[in-house]
Amino acid sequence: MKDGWRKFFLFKLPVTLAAILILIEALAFALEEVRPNRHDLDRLAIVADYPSEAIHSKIIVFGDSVTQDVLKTFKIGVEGQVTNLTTNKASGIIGSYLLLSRYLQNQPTPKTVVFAATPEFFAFSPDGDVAELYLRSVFHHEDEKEYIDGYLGEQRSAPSMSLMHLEGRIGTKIISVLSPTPVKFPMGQRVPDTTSLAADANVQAHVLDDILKRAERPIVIPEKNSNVLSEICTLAKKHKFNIHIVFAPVPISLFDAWKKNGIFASFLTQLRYIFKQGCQDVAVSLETTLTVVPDYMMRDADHLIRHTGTSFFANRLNEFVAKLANSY
Amino acid sequence: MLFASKEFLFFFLPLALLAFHVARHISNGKIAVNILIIFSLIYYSWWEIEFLFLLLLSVSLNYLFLRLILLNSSKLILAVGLLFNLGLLAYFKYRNFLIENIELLFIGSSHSFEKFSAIIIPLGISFYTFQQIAMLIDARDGTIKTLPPFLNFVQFVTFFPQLIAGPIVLFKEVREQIEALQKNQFDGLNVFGPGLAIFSFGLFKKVCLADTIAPFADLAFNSHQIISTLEAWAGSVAYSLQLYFDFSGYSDMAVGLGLMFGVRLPFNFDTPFRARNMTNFWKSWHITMTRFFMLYVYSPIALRLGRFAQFNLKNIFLIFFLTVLTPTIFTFLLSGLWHGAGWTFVMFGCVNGLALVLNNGWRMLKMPKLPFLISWSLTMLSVLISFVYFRSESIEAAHNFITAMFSIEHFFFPNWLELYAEKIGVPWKSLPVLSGGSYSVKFLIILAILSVLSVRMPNLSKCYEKLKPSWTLASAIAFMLIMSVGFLDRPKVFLYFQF
Amino acid sequence: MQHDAILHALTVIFQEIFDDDDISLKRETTALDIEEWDSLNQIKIILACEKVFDVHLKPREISAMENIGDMVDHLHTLLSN
Repeated sequence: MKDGWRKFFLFKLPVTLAAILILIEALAFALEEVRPNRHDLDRLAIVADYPSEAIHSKIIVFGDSVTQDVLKTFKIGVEGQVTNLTTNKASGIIGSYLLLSRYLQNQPTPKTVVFAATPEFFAFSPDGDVAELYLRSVFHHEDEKEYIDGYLGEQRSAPSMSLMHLEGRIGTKIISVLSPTPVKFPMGQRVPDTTSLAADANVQAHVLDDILKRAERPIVIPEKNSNVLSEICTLAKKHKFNIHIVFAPVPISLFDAWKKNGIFASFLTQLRYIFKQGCQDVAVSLETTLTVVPDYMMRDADHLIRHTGTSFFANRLNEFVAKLANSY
Repeated sequence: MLFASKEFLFFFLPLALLAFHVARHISNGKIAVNILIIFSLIYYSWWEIEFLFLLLLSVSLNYLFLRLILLNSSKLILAVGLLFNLGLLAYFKYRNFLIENIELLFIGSSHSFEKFSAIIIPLGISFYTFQQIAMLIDARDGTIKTLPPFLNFVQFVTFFPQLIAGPIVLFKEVREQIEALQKNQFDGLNVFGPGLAIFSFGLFKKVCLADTIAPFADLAFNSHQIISTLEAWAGSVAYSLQLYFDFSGYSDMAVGLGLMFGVRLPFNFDTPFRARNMTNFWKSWHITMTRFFMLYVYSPIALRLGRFAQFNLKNIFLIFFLTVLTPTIFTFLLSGLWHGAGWTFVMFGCVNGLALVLNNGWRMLKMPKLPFLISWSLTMLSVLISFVYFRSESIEAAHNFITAMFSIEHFFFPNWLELYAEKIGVPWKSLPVLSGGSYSVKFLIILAILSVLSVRMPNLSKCYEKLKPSWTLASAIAFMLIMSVGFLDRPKVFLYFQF
Repeated sequence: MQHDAILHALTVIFQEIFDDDDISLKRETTALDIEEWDSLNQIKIILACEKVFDVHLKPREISAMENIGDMVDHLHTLLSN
């Protein structure tokens, strides 16, 4: 038996270790060109990379999950009028910028780029594992990688062997291969309900708690985000589109609290300053009043209830899009 | 320094193995064991060096108590020894909990412990304290008849594979093994090989299985206020699997490491999710902890109450209350509390104790034996509910979760199944856990695979003598080690978190 | 009392506690051989032995025994003293 184990350690185990390691490297190499398909941003980046003759939209909408909730369910604008590039807050304004750059390289230039999001979206900056998941592993063109390094203030060290980061280099790639390739930007088909705001209902206690917590958090736009916004304006100047900023509806308790503590007003001041400094010669329209909904229309501190709340926002967006379209 | 970390796998462990085995070959067994002690103390210091002094103090004083007990078998010295050990545990682990609850009881409100300096619980204190308590009691019993050399005692308490998270080892299990090692009697690759296999197995369970399902369980439990029925069930099963693979993985790693150093440690898990009743479950879940509580808490109490009842009571319900219910509930309340200083842990113990009492009551009333599926389901249900308490941040959170599991008002389909829900007349809404189709499918697939693995995976630490140096074993070890190392660096951010 | 008699008496005790007349104890029998031998039944076994043999038993001592044979020997020692 001792000889058996000796042979095991000297021969069998090293051979199997080497064999599996070689297999892994080979697999990772084979899957290197496969684009990950883990989340919405992955899918948007894939579609944005391929020129499509079917896209003629004049309006692109970016935003966080509050808006994404709406655009994935409801039809906004008429067929082909609006392209939905909403993501989630995690990818940040930098994620939207990188997506916009890609889009502009391969798709027809829009007339308007709309950012329909929560105010917090403009202040959020991804880092660490979030940046890895929503930026670095999505945007892998050389110029994009450089930009991300600059934004994060650090360079990403590529793993030398696929042994480390098995999940990223093999696991998610295999799932990508097995999943259908996205070929178009998502857009909902449902017609929004006409919502009556007068209905009497109660907000859940924990939702109100969370809303009030949200109301106390200051919204400070870091310098790196103001740089990103300037870059977006540079694109706008180059491709001759205008920019509109609209805010997702907020619950009344939040609105009242922000009025008292001045958090939203301060945020607007920052935004105005950024556009003044970095967006001269670009038409930027900034909505300065918030749309308010009753607290019960919220399913949590940020998101609207499906479908009454989301319908309400969808109707507002449709009105906005119709106004834009009329102005062309 | 966790076992499942780069520092341990690539630095500490190879160094410890090298130093130990080289010492055995070029010097002698005694030096090798002393080197092992040094490495164990280094391992412990890596966490918090201040607590190394506490560990050494505990070991030294317990050795003194042991010596005194063996000299004159005094009940008083044993009492002092137990008081010291339990006092240490009470101070370091339960201080805040005790103060909070005493204040609540007598004043009606309690301090907020943010004002006090946060207690950092010395790592492993529950384990090394209990091991030494068992030793003192065994000495008084006469099971340990002679005083071991001090370093042998130190090796027994501080052996790093079991120091932080068990298994809870009895001295008689390792005494002769330590002496054999000191005489340089080592079974060589015959134990090292299986040891490596079991260690790889445990590492795989922890890194590739437990850590895969953990984010789903975390999301479910963090959403206790808004969770729906389906999610609560999925979340509780997910957590049960996470706990099993995490803990049994760690226990396997301990056994594997022990074998690599020539020490056979007791195994802790025996496919508990196959148990058909609560008795079997607790015979196969955290076996060494159950053993400790049965030997040193339950049996003495149950026996004394049993003797009293035998001669003084006639009413069968009173007899049952005294001889079954009381010792069982008491033991499980204590064992629940042993897991953590909080009422959720007490409730964990309580639920298990009650379920066990019901199980025993059913048998004692000679009720018909239930079909396997029913008895297994009832057992798993009890265990599942107890784990909800174990995991929850508070009693309120646990009750929210359990309410969601059993209340029809919490039954919702997810919004992405809206069409089906409306067809069959079931309410739907945006759910926090099953928030997206692809995510939910991924969750359920992982849940299904892990559920099957939890009952099908063999208990290597129970039967390592049967492991043969085959190509199959080599492939299994290679695969598990590579997968584990490959997944060590996975991002901790929750993949599909909706901001 | 002879070893065989002790073994026989133990068998009767086990048959009663486990409600199974088919139980046949041998020296090699262990706790693993009897499905419902748990801590609760261990206590019952000890109490029954104390009653039948008029001895005082310690649970940890009993738990430490490898098999029925050890228990028989232990009882024989106690009864001889």
